[in-house]
Amino acid sequence: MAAAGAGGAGGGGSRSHSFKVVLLGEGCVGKTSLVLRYCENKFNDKHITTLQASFLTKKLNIGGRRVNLAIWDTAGQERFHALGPIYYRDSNGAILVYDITDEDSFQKVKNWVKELKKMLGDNICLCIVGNKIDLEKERNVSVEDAERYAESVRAKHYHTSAKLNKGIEELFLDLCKRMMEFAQDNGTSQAQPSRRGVQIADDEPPAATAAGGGCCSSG
Amino acid sequence: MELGVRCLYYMVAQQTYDGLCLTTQPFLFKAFFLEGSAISFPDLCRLVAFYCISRDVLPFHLELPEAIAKASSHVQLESISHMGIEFWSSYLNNKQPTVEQLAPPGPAPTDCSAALEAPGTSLELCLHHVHNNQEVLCFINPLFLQQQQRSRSALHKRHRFKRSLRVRVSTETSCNLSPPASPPPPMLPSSGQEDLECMKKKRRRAPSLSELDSSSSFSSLEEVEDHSAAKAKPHQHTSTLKKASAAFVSLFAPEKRVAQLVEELSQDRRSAFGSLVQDFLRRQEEELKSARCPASSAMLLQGLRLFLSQAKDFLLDCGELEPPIETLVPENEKGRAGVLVSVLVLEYAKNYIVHHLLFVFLTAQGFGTKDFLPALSYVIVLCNIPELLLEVEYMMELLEPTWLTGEGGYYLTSVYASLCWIQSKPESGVPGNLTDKAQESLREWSQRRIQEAQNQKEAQQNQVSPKQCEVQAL
Repeated sequence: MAAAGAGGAGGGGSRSHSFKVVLLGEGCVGKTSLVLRYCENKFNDKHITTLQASFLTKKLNIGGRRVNLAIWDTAGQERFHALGPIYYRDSNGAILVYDITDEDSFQKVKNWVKELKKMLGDNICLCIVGNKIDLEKERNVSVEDAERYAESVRAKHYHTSAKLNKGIEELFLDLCKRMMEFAQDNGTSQAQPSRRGVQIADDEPPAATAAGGGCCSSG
Repeated sequence: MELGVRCLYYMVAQQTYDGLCLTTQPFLFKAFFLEGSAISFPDLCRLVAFYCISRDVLPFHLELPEAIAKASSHVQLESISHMGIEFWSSYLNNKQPTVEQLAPPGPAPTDCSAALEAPGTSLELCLHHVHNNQEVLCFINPLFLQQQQRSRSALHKRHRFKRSLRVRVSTETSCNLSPPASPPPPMLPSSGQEDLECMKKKRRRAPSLSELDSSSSFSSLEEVEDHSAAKAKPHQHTSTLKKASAAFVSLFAPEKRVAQLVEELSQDRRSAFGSLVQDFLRRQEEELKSARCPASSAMLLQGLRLFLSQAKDFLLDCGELEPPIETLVPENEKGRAGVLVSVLVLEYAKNYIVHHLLFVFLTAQGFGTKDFLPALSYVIVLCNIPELLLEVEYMMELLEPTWLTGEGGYYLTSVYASLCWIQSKPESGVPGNLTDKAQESLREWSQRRIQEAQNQKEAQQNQVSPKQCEVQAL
């Protein structure tokens, strides 16, 4: 994904971008904590979150362009796994979160990646996030494994701690930049209407327009 | 004064929607615009009509010759038309009208004298004037400009007139000094001016309260609540109260007026937009009658959604909406002028309230994200609204795709997910396994999205750049 870097800031214009980003991952890996920390700078150890965390927005200004992020949190329980596609449809980016102390949650991330690739191809920017690096001592997923895997699926890997507020700004900023590049290369940003077909049916055929032009000439 | 009108020929990729098939072809169309202006028009009539209402880059509004403005029937106009350039020297075009003749009925005499004291400050215009025999008479149908209300017959007349028109746009400073029918606003291209223009137009015809209700647009919860509050008012002094509130509401809701205009235009087969809409409706009807009806409801809705997007783009580009949408809706609101789905939007707003209430209720209980879906599913089952599934399906397919990524979209999606969850097959071993139908619709949706991305890439490559050739018209 980083390979797309060269495409950047070409086409001018002050249009703003709107992106949809979906958070996926097993329950209790810290998806909601990540987004709450990022959008509201809050952290709650007791795992009592407000429902507002389900949908949060963030406004950024990147290189003079306004970016509106709509962040969709999802329920992590296994029983709701099948509902994933309903939530990630039309996303520009996906943040796949695992808990570095929980090997199983990393395997779940791999399942999500497989599914996203199958459903969306390469039309989405993927981030794989190892959360809870404040619990480094209890780490169960090796850094090399995680990074190697991310590279193999053309995702970017990040380490974060919602508790210590580490790596989160970088994660979202980087994702936004990648989504902007992707939008510029593909013209799929929400800022441009997704289907911009022009359909014109003028009264007169094109042949007659030349005559019309002639009629208007002379000064 | 000469008006520099330019004619641009654009080459664009035309997308033709035929049943479920989308074909892209290059297509030529033209646009007229004044030098220095960013607003373009498909023909000179519309250009002139626009500048009679809005000055844009001009120092003054354009005005119609009085005889034309006063003509009340098609016959009268036709007779003026037959006069050709003779019109300008005829008795009909009195070159030295009295102040009484020129003064609009309303203003006090002091206004007139003030105008006369400052010669050159106003221009009677439009398309006129004969200095020498080479010039061609040109005028536009005043019914179109001066109409108190847009009637079908007026539209019809305008259309017929348009066809028999030879055009030469010029103005002349030596023409009669008449106070403009409406004093020009300060020449600032600010939104303030637009607002003023807007207000003027709105006073011409304020939509009734019922019309407003039926074309309500969703912008925020507050707005929706305002509406219900308005509805709850006692109906005693209805007529005046209704009128006043309608006028008031319409002032602050330009999109409602747009909705109304769009609706009228869509029913007028003589406009390109109207025939586009009517043809689509006829095709749909034929398809439903014949055996070729779409395989699934989702396909039907997708076809409709595609048409809505195209029709909206067309409407924004074609300039048939009069006055143009720019004068009615502030620039930043234009994206929201998805007026075609306004009725659905009302449904959307209602649902939003339900979600909001549910949301407050859940928050108060200290639930978290992971509890949201189960709780929502529980409430949906309790509510027992069989039509909810169909409504949600309609909204998911028909709403402007960009809206679906917002907060309302999130909760709509949650309701949809809950409904899928409720319908899922518990017997299949894997918990939460979706029904075949839901799975198929998701598969089909993902294919569609990949296809769309591809089409977009191709369309971008094929698109011929505008300004292929530029023809100077004047």
